[in-house]
This record gives sequence, C-alpha cells and structure tokens, in this order.
Amino acid sequence: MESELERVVDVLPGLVWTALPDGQIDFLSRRWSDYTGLGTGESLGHGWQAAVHPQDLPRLLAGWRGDSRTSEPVEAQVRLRRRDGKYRWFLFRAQPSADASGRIVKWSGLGSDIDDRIQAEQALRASERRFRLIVDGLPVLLSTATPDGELDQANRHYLEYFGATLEELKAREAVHALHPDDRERVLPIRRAAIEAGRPYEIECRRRRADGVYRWFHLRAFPLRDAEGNVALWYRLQIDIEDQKRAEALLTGEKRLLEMVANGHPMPDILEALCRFVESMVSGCYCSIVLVDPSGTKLQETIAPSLAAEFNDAVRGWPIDRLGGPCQTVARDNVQVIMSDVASDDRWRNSWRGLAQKHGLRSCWSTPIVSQAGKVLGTFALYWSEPGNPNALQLELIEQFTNIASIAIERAQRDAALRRSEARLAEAERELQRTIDALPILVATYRPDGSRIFVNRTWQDYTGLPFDVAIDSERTTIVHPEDGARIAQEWEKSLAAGVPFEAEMRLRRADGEYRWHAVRRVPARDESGAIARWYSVGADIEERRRAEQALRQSEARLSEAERQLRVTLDTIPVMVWRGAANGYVQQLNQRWFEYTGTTPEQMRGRRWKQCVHPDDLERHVQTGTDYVAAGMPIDSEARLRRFDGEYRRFLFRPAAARDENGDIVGWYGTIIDIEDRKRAEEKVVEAERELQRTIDHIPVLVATYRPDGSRLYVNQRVRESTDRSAAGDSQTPPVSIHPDDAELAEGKWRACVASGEPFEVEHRIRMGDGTYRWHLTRRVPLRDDTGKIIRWYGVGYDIEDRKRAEEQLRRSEALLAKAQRLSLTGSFSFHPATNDAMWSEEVYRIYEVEPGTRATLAMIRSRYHPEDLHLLEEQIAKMRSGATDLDYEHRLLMPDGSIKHVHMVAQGHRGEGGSSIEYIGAVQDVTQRRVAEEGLRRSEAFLAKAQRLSLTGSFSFYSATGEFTWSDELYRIFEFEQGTPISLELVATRYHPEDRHVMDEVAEGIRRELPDFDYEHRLLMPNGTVKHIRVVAHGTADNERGGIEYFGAVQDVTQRLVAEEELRRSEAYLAEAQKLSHTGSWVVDYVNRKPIYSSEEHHRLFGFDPANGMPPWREWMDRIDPEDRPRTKELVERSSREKTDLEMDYRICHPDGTVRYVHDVGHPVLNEAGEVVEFVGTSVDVTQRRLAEDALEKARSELARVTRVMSLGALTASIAHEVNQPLSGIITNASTCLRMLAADPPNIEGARMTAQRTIRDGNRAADVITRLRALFSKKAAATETVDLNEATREVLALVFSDMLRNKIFLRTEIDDDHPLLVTGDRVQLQQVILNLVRNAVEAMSEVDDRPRHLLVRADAQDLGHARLLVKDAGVGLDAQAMERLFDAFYTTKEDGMGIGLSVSRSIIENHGGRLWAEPNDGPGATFSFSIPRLAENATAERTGEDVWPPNLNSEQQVMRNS
Amino acid sequence: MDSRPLISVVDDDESVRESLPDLLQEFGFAVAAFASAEEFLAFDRLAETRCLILDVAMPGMSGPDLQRELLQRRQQVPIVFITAHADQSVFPRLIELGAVACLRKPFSDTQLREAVDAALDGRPPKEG
Repeated sequence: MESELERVVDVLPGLVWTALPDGQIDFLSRRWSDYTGLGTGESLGHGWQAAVHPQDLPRLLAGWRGDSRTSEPVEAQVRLRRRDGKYRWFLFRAQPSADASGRIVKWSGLGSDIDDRIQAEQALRASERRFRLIVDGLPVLLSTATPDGELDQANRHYLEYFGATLEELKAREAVHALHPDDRERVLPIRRAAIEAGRPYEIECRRRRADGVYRWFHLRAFPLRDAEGNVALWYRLQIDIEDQKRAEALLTGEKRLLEMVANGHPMPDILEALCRFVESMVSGCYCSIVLVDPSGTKLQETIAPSLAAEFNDAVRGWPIDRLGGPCQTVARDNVQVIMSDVASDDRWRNSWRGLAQKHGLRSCWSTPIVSQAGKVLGTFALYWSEPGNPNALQLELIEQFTNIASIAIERAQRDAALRRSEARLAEAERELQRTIDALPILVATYRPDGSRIFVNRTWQDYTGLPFDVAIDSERTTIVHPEDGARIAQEWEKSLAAGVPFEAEMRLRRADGEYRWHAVRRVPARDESGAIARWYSVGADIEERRRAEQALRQSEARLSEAERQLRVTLDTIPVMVWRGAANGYVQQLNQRWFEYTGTTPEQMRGRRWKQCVHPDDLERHVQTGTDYVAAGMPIDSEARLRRFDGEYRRFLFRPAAARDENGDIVGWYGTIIDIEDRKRAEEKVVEAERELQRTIDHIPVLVATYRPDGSRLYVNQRVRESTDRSAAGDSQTPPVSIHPDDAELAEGKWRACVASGEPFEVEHRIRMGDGTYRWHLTRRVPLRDDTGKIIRWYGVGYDIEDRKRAEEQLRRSEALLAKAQRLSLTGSFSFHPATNDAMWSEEVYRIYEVEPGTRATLAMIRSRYHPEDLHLLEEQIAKMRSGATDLDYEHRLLMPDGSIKHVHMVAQGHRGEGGSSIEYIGAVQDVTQRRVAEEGLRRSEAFLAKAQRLSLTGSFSFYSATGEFTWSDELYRIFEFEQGTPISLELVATRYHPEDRHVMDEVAEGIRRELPDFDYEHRLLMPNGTVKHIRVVAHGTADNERGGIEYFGAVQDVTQRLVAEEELRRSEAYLAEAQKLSHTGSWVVDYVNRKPIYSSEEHHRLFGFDPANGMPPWREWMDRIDPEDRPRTKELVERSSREKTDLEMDYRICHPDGTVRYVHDVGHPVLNEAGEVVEFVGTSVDVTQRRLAEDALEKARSELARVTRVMSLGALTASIAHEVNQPLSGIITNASTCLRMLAADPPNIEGARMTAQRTIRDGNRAADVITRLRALFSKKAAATETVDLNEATREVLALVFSDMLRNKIFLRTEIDDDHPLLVTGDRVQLQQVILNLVRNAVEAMSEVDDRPRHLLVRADAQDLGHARLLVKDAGVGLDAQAMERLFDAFYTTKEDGMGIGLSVSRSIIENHGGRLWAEPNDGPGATFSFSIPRLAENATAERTGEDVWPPNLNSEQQVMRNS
Repeated sequence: MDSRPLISVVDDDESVRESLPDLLQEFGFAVAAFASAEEFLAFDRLAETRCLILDVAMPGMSGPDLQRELLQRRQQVPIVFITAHADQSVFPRLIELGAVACLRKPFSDTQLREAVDAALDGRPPKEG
C-alpha cells in the first residue's frame, strides 16, 4: 500500500506538505524537490521559503500567521521558483487537523500549479482592456442589445453622438432619434428581424445631440448561445452622411456641368441648378437673378419654386436703386445674409412687403462673379423661417454659385467663340495668299494620295489650271523615265506613313524638264491618324548639273588604279590591298595561285569563301577592330588551298598614310605558318598528359606561388569540392568550414612567411554540401640558392579517423554522465592492501576532493556512527573471502546531513588465487529513502489534498476492469461514495459529444498503452457541464498479467471557461472590425515592434492574416513614401505630448492599389509615465476620399476652362474705353488743321477744337486711371474701417475653401483693439481676399509639409496698420519678384495675374504700399501697409515722418510708381 | 433753305458729338447730332438726311437696331457705322444689311470723307 501511495503522490499534479502548528514544514512530497530542485533536507523547517518569490513571501507568511489561529482551510496564490529559475503560480491550500481538545496539531496542504489558469486570466483581462479601448476608439456607433432589442452596452462614440449616458439612453424608446421620415420604413424591418433572430441592415437618419440628423448604415446581427437562442444583438452604425452627401453632390454637379459642357441653354441649366439645390437643402427656395451685360440692371430671375409675381417684380430693376437684397449684392459684390426679413431694417421698402406676402422670412444672397471679378448675377436661398446659414450651407452656396458662374460665362464664351471663328476664316484666307506667293511648288494630298490643292506657283510652273492638273500629274508632268520609280516610292510612303523624298524631273509649261527635289510629309490628327500629306518641290536643276561634272573627273582616277594592280601581282607572297575602310580591293597573283581561284571569282568580298568557316567571324572582327582603331593587328586564320586542304596563315596588315598622316588605305601580307603551329601543338599535348595523371590521383593536389597564392589544382579538387566556390587564384578552390578557416589561413600565412612546411586539419565543404575532415600538408620547393620557387600541397580525407576519435570521446563522457545522473559511483578494493580506486561520482557521494587517496580510515570517518558496525562486518566478510556484498548504510556528512547509500560489490580472485579484488558500485539512495518515508506519512492527508486541488486519483487494473477511486473522484463525478465503479458507469457521465474519447481510451487500454493524458467534458444529471483532465500511467503487472494504471483526474472547468471567454470576445471584435472596415492594432513603441494586429488590420495593409505578424519594417514599407515622414512626426509628437494620435495616410499594396486610412491611436503609459505602447484603430476611408477627389477634380477642371476667356474680355474693354476719347482727339485735330488751312483761316474755330482736343486727351488719361480701380464699381468711398473686423469677415468667407484645401490657418488679430483706417471697406476686403486666395493656391501643390497660413493684422508703427499673409507654398524666385505686380504676370499656369496689379493700385489709392518677400523657409509673405486713422494730430505727423516704412530686408520687392 | 447736303450723327459719346459735326461742316455739309437712336427717329427732318453716321454700341436702342428699324420704315438712309470696339466681327453683317461703310474709332479725316462721299454717290467706297 505504501508503494501505491507513493505512485499516487507521484502522479498527483501538486506539491504535498505538512507543517507543525508553529509553521515549520516537516514533510514535503517528492514533487517539491523535482520542481524546485531543492533537496528535501534543506527545504524542511523554513528552508522552503527560498523557493517562494520574494514579492509573494511576506504576503504568504502574513496570511499564514493570520490563519494559523483559525481552524478553517486557508489558501494563497504565490509564485514558486522552478529548478530552472523560472517562477510559476501555485495555489496553496491548507487544512488544519485538531486533536480531541480542538487544539491544532498539524497543518496539511497542497500546492497546485495554476500558472496556465493565471496566464489565461491575465490574457483575458489584457484583451478585455484592449478590446474596450479599441471599441471606444472605433469611430462608429457600436452597441449591444438584449435579445428583444433593448439597448445593453454602447461605446463612447455612441454615447457622445446621442449626448446621453448609457442609463439615459436605456430609458428612452428604442427608436429615439430616428428621423420621422424613416420610421415607417425602418421599424417593420427591425421588428421582423428581431423576431426571426436574423441579421439585418438598414440605412437611416439618426439625430445627433445638437439636433442634426445624419445618415447611418446600421448592421445588426445576433450572437447565439449553445442552444442556438439569441444571447444578444450586436449593432454597428457607421456614419455615411458625408459619403451620401458627397455622392449626391457629385452626381448633381456632374449633371449640371455636363449640361454646361453640352451647351444646354443657360436658363435650363440654371433652373436645373435651382431644383437640385432645393433637393439638397430641404426647405429652401432657390433663386438666381441675372445682371444684364451692361451691369446696370437686373435682367431676369430664375426661381422655379417662387411665385411669378415675386420674380417679375425684380426684372429690369436698376441695380443702383434700392430694391431687395439681390440689388445690393449685385451692386456691392458682397454676400448678404438676411436672417430675418421682418426685423432687418436695411430693405424697408415694398420688397419687404412683397417677400412677406409670399411667406419668405429669410434670404441669403451671394454674388455670382465671373473669373474676371465681374458680377454676373446673384444666387439666393429663401426660407419660410428666419435663420442663418451653417458652415455646410455656406460651402454649398459657394459651390453652386461657382457652377452658376461657369454656366453664365459659358454662354458668353460661346458668343465669343463665334466671333473668333470669323477671325479664323480671315486668317485662313491670308495663309492661302501666302502659300500662293511662295516660289516653290506646294501641294496637299489626302491619305489615299489623291491631291487636294496646289498653289499658284505650281500652276504657273506647269501651265496647267488647278482643276485639270489633278489626275494627270504622273503622265503629263513627271518625266517618263522617272514616273514608274516615283510612283512606286510614293505608294510605299503612303502605306508606311513615312516622309517621301525624291528627286524627279518635272515638265515646265514651255516643255523643258527640270530636276526638282520633292518632299512630302504626313500631318496627323490628335488620334495619330494621317489627315493630310503636305508636299513641297524645289528646283534643283543647277545642282544636278554640278554633280554630273564631278562624276566625270572620278572616272579618270580608275586608270591609275589598274597600274598599281600589275605591280602587286609580281610580289612572291600573298598580298592584298584595301580601302581606308578596310574593304579588300585587290589580291595579288599569289593568292589566286594558292587558292586556285580567278580574280572574277574573288570579286567583291568573296575572298571570304577561302577562309575556314570556323575562323571567318573572328578574322573579320579583327579586321573591323584594327580599321576602327587605325592600328594594324595580326590575325590568324586557315585558308583553303586549291586542293581543298586548309593551312594556317598569319595575316599582317599595314596602313598606308598620306602626307598628313591620315590613313588612305591598307596593305597586308599573308604568311603560311602551318608548320610552326604543328610543332607548338606537340609540346602542349605532352603537358596535357602529365596534367591528366595528376588529376586522377585520389588526393587533393595544388601548387602555390612563393607568395602563397594558388597556381593550380588538380581535377580531384575541382570535382570533389564545392563548385560554387571555384574562384580565381586568390581565393581557395575549396570551402573551408567557417570555424576552421581563420586558423588554417592564419597558419598558412605564417608558413609562407617563414618557409616552414604547413600542416593543418580542417573541414572542407564537399560537392554535396557536407563537410569532411581533411589533413592538408604543403611543403616548399627551393631552387639552388635556397629560394622558394613553389609550394606543393596535398590534402587527405581523414573524416573516418576523426569520427572514430569523436566516438570514443563521447562514450567516455556518457559513462561519467550516466554515473552522475544515477548517483552511482564505482570502485575497486583490495582487502589485502587496503588499496581502493574510486570513480568521480564516489568522491562526490562521499563529498571528498576528487583525487584524494581513498583509505579505509577516510571511509570510516564518513560512516554514520550507528552503522559503523556494518562496515566492520563487511570488511570481515571480505577478508574471509566472501564473493558477493550487498547492503545499505548511512553516511554522516560534515554538515550534519545524512545520506543513505546502497553498496553492491563482487570479489574476483586474481591469477594464482593469492589475493582477491572487489569491484562494486555505491549508489546514493537518500532521495528514494526520504520519499518512501514521506509517502508513508502522506497517506493520511492524501485525500484532503485531492479535495483541495479538485483532483481525484484512481487505479485501474486492465485484466479485471477493477477500479479504485479516491473520495474526491467520487465527488467530481458526483457518484455516491463507495459505489462500485466500472467503465460502463463512468461512460454514463461522459458528455454525449465526447463519447468518442471513451472509445479511444478503451482502445488504448486494449493496446496496453502505458500513458494517457486527455481532456473531455462530463454532463452531470442536473445538466451542468464539467471539463476534466485525466492523466494516467500504467505499469505491467508481472505477477498477474495485464496492466495496472494509476491516474489523477482534475476538474479544469474554471480554466477552460476563462479561455473560452477570451476566444469569444476576440471573435466579436474581429467581426465588428470587418464590418466597419476598421482594423485595430497594438504596438510596442519602445522596441518598434507590432504586438497585435487584427485580421482586418492585416487585410487593410494587404497582409494575409494566415501568415502571422509581419515585422515592423514591412508595415512601414506599406505606407506611401510621401506620407511616411509626416506619420512619423505625428507619432513622435503624440508620444512626446502623451496625447491621442490621429492621422491620415495612404497605404500602397504590392499590387499597386492604394488605400486611404484614418488612424486613431491611444498611448499606453507605464508607471513612470512613459509611453510604452500605442493601442489604436485604422479605418479604411478610401471610398470617401475617392468621392471627394472626383468632386474636386471636376470642379477645378471646369473652373480652369472658364478662365480662358477673361483676358480677351478685359483687353477689349480697355480698348473700347481708350478708343472713344482717341476718336475725339483725332477728329478735333483734323478739324483744327482744316480750319487753319482755310482762306482766311478760322482762328477762333481752330482754338475751340484745339481746346476740345486737350479735354479729350485728359479724358483718355482719366480712363486709364479708372481702369486701375477696375474691381470697384463705384468711386473709392472713404469711411472708417476696422482692419481687424474686415479681415475677420474675409476669412469667414474663405473658411470653407481652406477646409477643403487642408490649410492650417493661424490668425494673429487683436479683436479687443480696433485697427482703424480710412478707406473703402469693400476694396480693402477684395485686396485681403486676393492675398489669401493667392496664398491658398500657392499651397495647393504642397504635400510634404503642413499647409500653414498665417494672417496677421497689427499696427506696424504709430502711423500705419499692416496686414500680413504668410504662406508655406511654392515661394517666389528673384525673377518672379521683379515682375510680380505686372498686370498680366503670373506664376500659375492657369492664373490671371490681374489680381495683384489691381490690389496694388487699390492700396496705393489708400496711400499705402503692397509688397512681397520670400520666407526664410518655404513660401512667401505678402503684406500691405496703409495709414492708420489718426487718433490725434501728433500721431498723424509721426506717421508722415516714418513713411515709407523702414523695410530693411534686402529681399524686399518694391516697385517705385 | 440750306442747300448743303444734310448729314446726321448719332453717338452717345459727347466728344464725338462735338468734334464730328465741326469736321463735317468743314467738309461743307450741314450736320445734325443726336445722343440716341430714339432722338434721331423723332427728328422732323429725318427724310432729308443724306447720310447717317451711326455708333454701333449705345445704351437703349443700338446702332444695328436703328438700321433694322429704318429698313422696316422703308427709310433708305445710307449709313456709315463707327465703333470703338476692337471686335470687327459684326461688320460683314452690317454691310450685308446695306451699310455703306464701317469705321473703327479712331479714324482719319480722309477715311471719313471717302465714306461720306461714297454714301452720297450711292456707290461702295474704296477698300481701306
């Protein structure tokens, strides 16, 4: 029974102990030692504390002290150090036992390993914390609901959107905040889905806390419990308002712009625009009033939803008379927001009555301005309620005003187009005249070659009329000899579409043919197809004649050549002569004799036929090379003799040079070298034979130069070693094992230096990639003087020898280790001499310094005094010649500890039988003894321990199927104590779905498997489910047969439930993320290491979740390179300031797709307050961004198109204004002259007309002055203007523009102190607007840095107010600065430039200056400065003194004017 | 009764109305000047006008409007158009409707003389 208990304790997954009432441990199960590595002896008493984690010990001890006084079971969780130094969590439970008097006499306890459970719980907590952070961070409304649809949980965003706490929201109706128009549609869907328990999707509007309705996409799906009932609803609502609006806007704008582009009548477009606006902004009435072309009166109203009476009242109204707000808007070119018609006193006339009569309570009217700044009309929204526009409405108004402007300008542009078409026709006629006047023949052809047109010169030359000439050109004009050739080439050009060039004779009207150079080129249309051929023909008759004369003089040269040929043929070697380009021109007679050919056969380049085909290419290449280099190069090639035999020849060329040293030709000899070559080859063959011998020796052979570099290796080296390493002579042909390489090479270098023979063992990489040991030897060869001239090296494979050595070493080590592990030492002993030999382990057991002489006295000193008699008995036995010894005894160590030792020995008689030698083994059995002791004592509290650890134990005998169960096991299975147990009974508790486990176990028992470790579920009669883990070990019962199993069963339900919860919450999260296109992530910021990335986050970045976590670098690489610096900066800032992170960037997938991502991150701090992690979400906003981009693109494209006309319109206007007085001046001057020329002269009349001339001259000057203030429709008014306020108003106007352009606007305006100036408020605002717009445009291309815009209004000095606009845009270069204020200069490809010039004149009219400077960093700063309104006379004078402002910057730009 | 031929000038620009009549008188014509087409239509000696010098762009009824009006009233007054606009694209249309000449401001006295002479002779003026 004791050994059985011992086994049970062994399999029990816990540490068993008992303690005395004073807390000292008096027993520890063997598992304690196994686990902690501490000996039982050192752990008893208080020794065990060493294994407890220092942080947990005080708590454990305090708990102990506190609990010792009670008699209740106590428990504590502490970390215990394992033998490898790692800590694991244990649950310690202890139970006191009391004697009859109730006094506690003993504590017994069990420590079970709960580390896995603790880890799982911690992971769950961490995951839940992350989950909460992520859920709260999701920019969607996320909530859960009860099975019947009642709100249960909601994320932060949800609560913020509805502006209420969770409790308040729960108290509300389920459909609260649902738009009334959506209820009828949405509620039945929702109700039906909830009843059916199936997922549903709805788009509906929800009211935000501030009363605004926004569109949401709602998705809900049920989560089911094990029975399939709905456990809760998961609801996700994504804000799609922006997307919806952007889509609607895009569609609407597109349709309108298409109408514009297709040339629909303007009133139709404007009416469609009004209707569209009314559909976008519900409840408004839209109206567009057009101003007539003269800009003096209102022309027409387009307002489909307003009463005709109201619209008609406006028609023909002069804009300078007081009417309604639209007159004011048209006159002043400013927006008017009339929030309440009834209380607004600006239009207290009949208009107000009329508006009120039609129920119009507010009106927001905006000027429709052309690109040139002219008011084309007004765009107004009327409402039946008083109110002010919000930011969104202002933005819409601006967009639609813009479209209206495009439509109106388009109509005007069409008119201009018609005018320019007329001008084009005139230009074409002019071109026709020019072409006719050209002194060359001009013609055009269709793509099929038929002629369309010929010019006057052509007709004059041929004498043919235009229409007659067309189809008879070839037969009547082109010379008959040229006709066919020309026709053919012309066909070719036509087919290929390449220019045609030819010289041909053309017949003149008088019958003479003259040479012409004719060139025809194709002209292509936009698609690249040929539309026309243009042909010109120039007379080249004279040039042709000059060429003819040249040809005759060349003929005379050839005679001289013939003379030279005769000379060459007489030379007795083969000789050739060639031109400067190397072409063979002549071969001498020897050549023909050798090759058996004739000069006719060798004509051209046919000499090549005599060269051996294998040599020809190289030989010709050599020729090309030396001609190119201008330097003779020898060449060898075989030439075929007349009898067919090839012989080798040396070709040796020489250059012939003229007096300037320029090469004019080549000569060469061809010499037979066949015999010499053959002699050389014999030597080579002999060497090759030697080589083969060396190559086949079965050792590695190599030779080296005196400097150690390799000269040669034999074939064996090349074959057997790593081919990839075959290098030049500087690198070894063999790959030496990296571990050996340094040693081998170092030694080699030393040997090379000293001349000593070299010998080393190293591993070499073989052809198959394995390494084999080699012994390499190299010896020097010296010449007579003793100088080394070569090294010879050989390498032998010594792998097999090496292996044998290694084997031996290892088996010795193994033996020593085996003894160490089994705590068994061996010894020999001669009783006759008392000589003893001990193995190392014996020394260790006796705790004696190894090597100490082993004497009987020393052995005696270690024997436990009580066991000394055993030693004496054994020695006596040995002396008497006993052969076998086997006994156990104790040792008493110097430190007082006791060891149990088992001694076995055998006596061997030596030769002659004289003496006997004992060889034996000593085994340290202390541990076993202690364990046995412990087991005996543990029986009493084993059951208790099992109870504490929820662990039962059992034994099972396979032969009979007999079970023995501990009490705790009965409790786990919930069987009556003592019930006879059988496999069948156990099976009744198995969970139906886990029955297969039972079958597998039965099968395992049948096959007599020794070990079982499995988990399964139990289904209890009351329906609860338990998870248990079963561990069993079987040993064969040798006496009875069969196998006896001992096992433990642990209830692990708690742990599994924790794990399951963790898995479930992660699954919910993944689903939510997929639905909302939102990924979440956790990053270790300190180590730049991704810790966690949801599946959706993986997908967002284009990673496959199945491939695990990519490293940090790969994530970064997916971010668009342009966005990387910015995102890095934002993350660093967030880390520095410990604020939430929010950023937008793009991700580029490897397949080229681009995703736009919106990131929100939250920094996680450690105890020291440093950022260690970021937890965040990434939302895919690509769809939204693309919609926005498309809208923006369409808008800017059309805006650019409309600008083209502005310049022409402006110049025409200027011309008209100046021409009027000019006309008067000239007429008057003419009259004046005539009056003076009359007889008698009319002096009085002349004086009057002269006076009128002067007046008209002044008038012309006035016109120029007036043009300068072109933007202003009225004379510069003088009123007191607060520059601060004026600037604020302008900024409000362009605010939406800035939002769209992502401008970071900073204003430095002191609203508390007005900055008063005298001037025209509207004009000044136009200047400010112009500067701000320019700055915004200058930054439109900037993507690599923030688009900062600074607007500052301040007092520059006592006398001046200054406004400064500083951008971070493209900046200005010096050249641009000089011309910046020229009327038509612009740095923008689509800009007008007039704005700055007009702005400057406005500011100068106000007595101020406008200037520009480049910034230190990127961008430019535009400023103006105008006199401040004098607060007193002194200030004004001071102001005068300091003007112009002291601008000491060298880069300032100022034009004197 | 004045025996000189009567020439009428219609132009909204005052400097033209002052300078042009003086020059025409120097040429030896009788002149009447009007600031608008409406005033001219109300002129009691309209029928006697031998030549009408007419501005193209005017507020209210424009020059071409007046030309059409006269055609409808079957008043065959030879017209010389003058204009300060650089754009000459309207000229061919005006000539087609019967105008004698179109002059671009500013014009020389010679150009004016030739145009008026052509109007009085009932023949087209020389190119120029």
